[in-house]
Amino acid sequence: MLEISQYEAMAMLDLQEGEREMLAERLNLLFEGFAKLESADVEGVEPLVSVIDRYNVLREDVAEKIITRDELLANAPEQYDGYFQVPGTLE
Amino acid sequence: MEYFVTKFDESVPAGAKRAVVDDSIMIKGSPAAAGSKIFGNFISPVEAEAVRKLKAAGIVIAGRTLMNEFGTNGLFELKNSKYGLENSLERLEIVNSGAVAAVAENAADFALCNDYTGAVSLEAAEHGLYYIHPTYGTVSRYGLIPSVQSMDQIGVVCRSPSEGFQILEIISGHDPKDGAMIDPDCASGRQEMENVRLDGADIKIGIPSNIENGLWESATAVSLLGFAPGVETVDTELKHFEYCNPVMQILCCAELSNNISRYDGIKFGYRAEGYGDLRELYTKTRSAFGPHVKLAAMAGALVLSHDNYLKFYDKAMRVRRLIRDSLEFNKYDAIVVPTPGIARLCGIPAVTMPLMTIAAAPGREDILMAITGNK
Repeated sequence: MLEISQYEAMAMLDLQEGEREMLAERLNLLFEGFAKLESADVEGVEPLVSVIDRYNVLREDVAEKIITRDELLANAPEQYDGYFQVPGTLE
Repeated sequence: MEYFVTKFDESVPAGAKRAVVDDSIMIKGSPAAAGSKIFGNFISPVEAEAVRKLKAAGIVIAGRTLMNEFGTNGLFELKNSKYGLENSLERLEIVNSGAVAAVAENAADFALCNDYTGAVSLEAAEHGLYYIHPTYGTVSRYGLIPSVQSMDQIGVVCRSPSEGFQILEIISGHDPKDGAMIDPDCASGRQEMENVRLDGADIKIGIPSNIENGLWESATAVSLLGFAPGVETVDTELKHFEYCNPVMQILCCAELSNNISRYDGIKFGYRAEGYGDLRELYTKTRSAFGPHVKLAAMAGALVLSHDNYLKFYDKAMRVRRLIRDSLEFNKYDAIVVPTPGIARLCGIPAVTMPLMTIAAAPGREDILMAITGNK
């Protein structure tokens, strides 16, 4: 059995009682399903990272204005004086 | 059922088509949330390239439609998959596709959505509709809220394949704003859809004989649909199919968990109230995710963690190659597949219709159109 609290912390979640048990059960079921891959023989097979076997698409290194500062901040939950506002991070 | 998140009351000029797009496709100045509360009052600052192209073609956007949070429906319970059922999780807050309902109930002529699991395709087929999933890299994903980048691809819910392929022609094409697109000059790029016709052409459709569930219906459908002139069925085998479901789940969870790390309550979207420090701000805010997304976030953390990376994530990527390379498009032009998810894993085009999904080689939407569109 997996200990769910480890993955809960890694995923930055704060599960409620009840929800934690429900999701723990499901995570364990899922994990059991993943174990099926053990029998797959991948000797000499490279990982398929992208289905497009292509090179990187690059553009000229020229600055473009895609979005303005005001437009960007318009979706911020809290802002102050043109910056994102967060709780204090230093003691 | 209710299917609009936002309905636009625009007048429709005579002869113009009406589209709806799902909640993950951005329309500038309108909300977009991928079905998630985590977006709060987010307003799209940009217009999705696919939407821009539709509007430029005179198509009216009738609204944005409901979707399951980040498109996770079907991920933990792959319908029509014998192997999926063993693993199935009971339905948790599944929202039916508003895109499918809107087209089925004639609120739109077609819909665009990002069906990376194949669940929307199956839902469309249940309503007598079609879903066209293009080759990975065909339609620009600029302005699409990402879920699973290695499979994300905008497709079309439509009433007939020929109409769907017409729409695909409009929305497809290289866009420098999407870094993973088929190069227009590349040999494996999409073929002109005019080239292949059924009359006189001999199109071979592979029918996997080792898959039982549902495929007999498909085989019957292939012969019943009047394919006789020019179509030949070929017995084949679908290798490694038993791994499709775990590979899909591992890759989707890994990519989803990575993608949703950006939803932290700082830069945009929802922020919870009543937090003390920064960590509490993150965790309380992220409580807004639904159960599927939380599960995917934790499963993703699991498969990407140091102890499990090679065993699960790396292995899943290798098996993904095995699955893709086992398709034998030198023996057939298209293949009936038991679940639309295979086409997503392999990045190949597919049409899901009532009774079956047919997939073709990368870039060969023309074959699919010949099979389905010119009857």
